[in-house]
Amino acid sequence: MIRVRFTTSEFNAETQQWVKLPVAELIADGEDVRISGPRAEWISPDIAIIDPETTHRVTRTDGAERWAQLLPFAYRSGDLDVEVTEVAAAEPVGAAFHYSTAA
Amino acid sequence: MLGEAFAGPPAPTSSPGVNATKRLRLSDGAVVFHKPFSGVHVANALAYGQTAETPPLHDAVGWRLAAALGEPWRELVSPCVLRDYAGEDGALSLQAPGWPGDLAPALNPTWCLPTAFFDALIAQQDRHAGNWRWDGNRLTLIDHGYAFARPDDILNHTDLLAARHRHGAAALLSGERQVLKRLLDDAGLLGIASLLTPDRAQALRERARQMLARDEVLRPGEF
Repeated sequence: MIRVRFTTSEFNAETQQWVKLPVAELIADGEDVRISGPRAEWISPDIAIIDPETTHRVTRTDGAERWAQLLPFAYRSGDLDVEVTEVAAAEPVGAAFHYSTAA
Repeated sequence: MLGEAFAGPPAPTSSPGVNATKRLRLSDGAVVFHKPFSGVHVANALAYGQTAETPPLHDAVGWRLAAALGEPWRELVSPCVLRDYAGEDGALSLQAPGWPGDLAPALNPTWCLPTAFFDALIAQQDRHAGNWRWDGNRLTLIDHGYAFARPDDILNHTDLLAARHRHGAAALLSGERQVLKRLLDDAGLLGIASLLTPDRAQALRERARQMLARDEVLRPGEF
């Protein structure tokens, strides 16, 4: 299973710091693709991507996980940060977020 | 506007990205993106028939050509120049207003026609909805790193040009004929020829000739 997180940054004039903002999370699991998040509509599941290793044009229907791993090549402009991670199939997606009640 | 001093550090990034792009602020508050030559993903560039140097260069040349053509193209392309940041030469482009992924401009002739013409002229190889920004009122084209292709180079997306053909609007408009003639009447292609390799400049000249000869925009993948 492949997880792709899209984030962006805005400059906060009061704190004089960059603030990272979530955009969307894409999960490719087998042949399925799910996109969620506050700006999920910004991410198109229909973009084809050139695989630099093979020079082949890869679409989602060629294999969702392979396609998802290539997504950084589709978003090169810099205003979207694209982070790809491989998630163990048995691990629920939410397991990436850990909440502790320990003092 | 892109000559202002840089203000503060770049935005932190969790992934260096395909081009090691940095998001920065200028002293006038403008947000810009710096794509260093050293950060080009060489395998990706080669896959498109580009080189390790051409993506940042073509990003800036795309803007230079749009500016030379004048309106409406000047307003449709995000300004981009070559400039160094932290000792690294690269392309510096202004953040475009709006969001990615919106197909509305492809359905509206006001936006689709001139941008399709521009993409045909520059042989844009990767124009999808992630490479334009739409704010509900205005379309801005970004990322011209994979452009100025040569015959037989690969095409990934040219969604606006495909939409223009799909809408049956391939015929050139009078303003488009005028700028093509102006481009061809200038031996230096309005200052662009010297910024491209000779084969890419010749391909640009030939595309302009072809469009005038047929009186329509080129078809997707005709480089």
